[in-house]
Amino acid sequence: MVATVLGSELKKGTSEVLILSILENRPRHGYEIAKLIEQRSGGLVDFHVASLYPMLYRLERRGWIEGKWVEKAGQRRRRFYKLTAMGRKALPEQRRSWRELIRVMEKVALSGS
Amino acid sequence: MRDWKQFVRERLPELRLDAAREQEIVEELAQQLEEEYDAALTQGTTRTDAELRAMAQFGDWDELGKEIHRAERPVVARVPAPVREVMSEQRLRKRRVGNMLADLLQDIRFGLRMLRKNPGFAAVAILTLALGIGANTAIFSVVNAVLLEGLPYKDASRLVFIWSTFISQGVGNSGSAAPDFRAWQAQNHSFNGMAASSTDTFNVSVQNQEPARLDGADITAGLFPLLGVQPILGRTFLPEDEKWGQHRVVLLSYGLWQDKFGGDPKVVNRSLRLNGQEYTVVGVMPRGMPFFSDLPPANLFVPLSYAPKDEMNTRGNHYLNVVARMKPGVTVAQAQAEMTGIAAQLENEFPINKGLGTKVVSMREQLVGDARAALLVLLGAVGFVLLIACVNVANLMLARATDREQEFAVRSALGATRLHLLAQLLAECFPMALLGGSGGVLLAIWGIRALQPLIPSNLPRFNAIAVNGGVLLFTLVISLVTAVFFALAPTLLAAKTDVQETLRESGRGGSDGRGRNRLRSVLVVSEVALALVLLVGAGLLIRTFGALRHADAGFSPDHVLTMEIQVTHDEGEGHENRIVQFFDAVSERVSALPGVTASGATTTLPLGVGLGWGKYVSVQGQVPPASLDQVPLVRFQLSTPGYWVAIGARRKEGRLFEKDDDQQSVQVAIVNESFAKKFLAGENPIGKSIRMLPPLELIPKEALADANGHLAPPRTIVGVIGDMKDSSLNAPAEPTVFAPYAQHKDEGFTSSMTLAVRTRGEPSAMAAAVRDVVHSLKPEQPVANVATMDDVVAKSLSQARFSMTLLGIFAGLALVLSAVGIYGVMAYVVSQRTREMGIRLAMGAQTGDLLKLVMRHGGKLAGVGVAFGIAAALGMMRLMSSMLYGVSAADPLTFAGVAIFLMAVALAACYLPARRATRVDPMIALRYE
Repeated sequence: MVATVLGSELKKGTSEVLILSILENRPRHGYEIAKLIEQRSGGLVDFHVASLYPMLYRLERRGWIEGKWVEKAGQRRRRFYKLTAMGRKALPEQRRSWRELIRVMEKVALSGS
Repeated sequence: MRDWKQFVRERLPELRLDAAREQEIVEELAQQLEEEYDAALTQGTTRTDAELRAMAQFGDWDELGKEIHRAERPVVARVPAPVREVMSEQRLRKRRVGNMLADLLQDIRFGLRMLRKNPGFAAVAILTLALGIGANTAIFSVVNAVLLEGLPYKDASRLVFIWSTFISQGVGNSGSAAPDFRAWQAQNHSFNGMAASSTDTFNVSVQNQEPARLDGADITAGLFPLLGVQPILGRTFLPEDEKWGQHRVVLLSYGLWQDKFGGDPKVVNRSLRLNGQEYTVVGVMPRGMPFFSDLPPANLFVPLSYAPKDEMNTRGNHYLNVVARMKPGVTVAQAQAEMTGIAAQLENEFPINKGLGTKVVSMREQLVGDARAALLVLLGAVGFVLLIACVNVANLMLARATDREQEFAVRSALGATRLHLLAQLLAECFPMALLGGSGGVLLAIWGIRALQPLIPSNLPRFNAIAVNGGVLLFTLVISLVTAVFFALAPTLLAAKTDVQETLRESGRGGSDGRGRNRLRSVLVVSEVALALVLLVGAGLLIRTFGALRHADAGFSPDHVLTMEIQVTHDEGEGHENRIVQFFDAVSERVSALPGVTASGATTTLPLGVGLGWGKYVSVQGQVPPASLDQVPLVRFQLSTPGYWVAIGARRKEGRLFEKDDDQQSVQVAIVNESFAKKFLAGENPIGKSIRMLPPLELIPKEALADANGHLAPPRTIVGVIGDMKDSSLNAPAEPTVFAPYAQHKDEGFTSSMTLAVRTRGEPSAMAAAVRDVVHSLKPEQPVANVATMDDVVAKSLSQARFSMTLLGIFAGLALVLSAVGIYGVMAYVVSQRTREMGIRLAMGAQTGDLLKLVMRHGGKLAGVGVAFGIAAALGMMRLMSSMLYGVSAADPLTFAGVAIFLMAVALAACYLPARRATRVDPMIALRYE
């Protein structure tokens, strides 16, 4: 029973929730997102830039975030991502799942397998 | 400065997305590199170090390419598209019907696009369906030809056979006597017409051509008009053709007309010799006109005509096949009731008819009766195979539906009803099902061709088996039905999915709800159960076949050559003795051939080849039965002295026939063990006297008067031989009396004998030499049906072999498909639980534990499936009991063996995914996604 819950909860994006949270207040571009995750986790999460972009594309395809090329004078154009209405709706649930995951992980860690 | 876009383009594998999107991605990734590079520079590193730091961000470009491709893949990429589509769906609902077609076409185009985008999925699904549908198409084409297609006669549903029955003797299906037939014809009110026929063989010679022995039929003039078959040349018979003396007219089959007369359009009034007599051709029957398909194909027809005092024309000789056409509105039951009344009247009128009843059987029932059970079992079997195939495809669809959950949720949220989702899924499934169906038709055509040599030739209408319009329609229908079946599975799920929940949920394939797992488990369980039923069926048939092959036939079939010889003869005085001498001479000379150890002739070979006689018998010194209908009937055979050694019969007591058992010596007989057991139990049979007649006091006076003193003589039993299987290997031998051919006397005589030759080497190699001996004695004497006894045995097994092979193939197919199904589901489960496995490993679980975990899961599903399968098989195998021999329908060995085997295969199918689970790298698993 625990196994099933754990299995499915774990699948829910651990990193996705990070990305959504980072975009919660304002749009950001990929490089910025990567840096923020690194900073906010204090380097504890072994986060790979290589997995960031596929994840962004996936979230975009799912309709939770939306990317847009923005050109500012004197700068190269950048692709900014913002949370969509759907993504905003999904975020609380994601956070809840994340907490659930941690709880279950603690339980498993304490009881062994 | 480095051109980062160029850098990315060189490393990132082709994404197979549209060019603009690919361009965007390259630009974005290049930007990431550039920003990192710039940042490094501002921190004061060297250009080289800054470049290295930027490059280090993306380690494995191939992996990155794959990840992006997966993220961009159509199932997910489609989310915006369905939004558009669903919105237009809403608008469409208000539109007129005309647009629905366009909508449907759009859906189908979409379905095809989906197939192209998932070639792996499409290939597996289509192949699976093609196997299932192909098996069904092949068997249905057999069922269609044999059971469903109309008989080639006018209003065939009103045609019936009328048989004589001898219930007290256990004879339920006898031919009828000519005088009885005429009485029925005259007295009935149920039928528009009634006709009779009898199979016959003819030595046919057309001027200047090699004589041949051919099967034909004696028929009454009314037969062809009754069946509604017209000749293509000339006329059919007239009632006056039946008059003895005017009877030498013949109707040719299309085949004989082509063969012997080269299709001569002026063949009418030409003549040919039949059994040494001159006959005039009066007509030619149409091509492909089967006579009754359970009879040998008739090459020619002559009128059924009797010479005065012909003993075949008496109430004691039951040999005619009677066909009748019921009047419109008359049922078989009504016809039967009337016939029963007429038979009762005849019983009163003629004491010899005591105990004689009738049985009216519809023609279709008669012609396909025996094959029906086997064919229905096979049809059921392929139905199971198709179900398993559908379950596999449904499983695939389910896995995909999980991926597409979001899409369905979006559609629902935008107002698509369950029906809309179903329509869309159907449109996606139809192209797949139709492609599978087309593949199935090809497989079926190929399969029928491959199986042709296996189809037993006694299967009625077996030459009509083909993939024709009706079969294609059937295939189309089952293809569409299967499409509905596996479109339904994901739709049911989608319907259950809570839209809010799903939209809120994250993760592509993230949630695999318990309901979905349960559905998947149900599918696996049913798949295993279906496979088990098929395997048990196949197992029982294999055991049956083995039992039949090892069944003791009572003789030694190896090294025996057989052939039928019907001696052409005149009707002159003493011709019977001349024929006996001819066979004696043949036996003698053949025995003298180098390589031959013995040779002899008989009227009936074991396993149903040749003429079978049934005769009354009375045993002297026993209390006679009270009435004629209680007098026992037994098989009667004539044979020459050499026959016993040639066939390899087993002498149990007394002696075999010898050369001097002839007309001058004491009339003797040999009986088989069944006879001795039934009539002489506990006595010494040797020396007992029997007579192939009812006790004289029970014989009706007029029959005695007719016989004019020519009554079967008493015979002394001189020997007992072991039972030889007479009709088939799976039926016990009937009580049989053998008399020496040379002592034929008033019991009937035949000029048609089957020669059996025992050889030292390969028997078929002796065929030419034996034929030469026959020709040296009688230059134009045809021989027919040259076969080794091993062939005869093999032929008698053909029905069992056919059923066993087909069911074996289908069970094998079912096994493979269900193993693939279990593998697929377990692989899916393992991939769903990768993270859990990783954590377990990280927490110190041993790989063995994980292996056990997965195997236990799979084993549990397979075990439940096996249990259900055994329960179902116990119920269903009873339907097969008529096809079994030497094994019970609930044979524990077969059931246990199959259950263990299937469990082993299921566990093997689980093992691969289970092993993969143990190889999970905890770090990768945790980082996964």
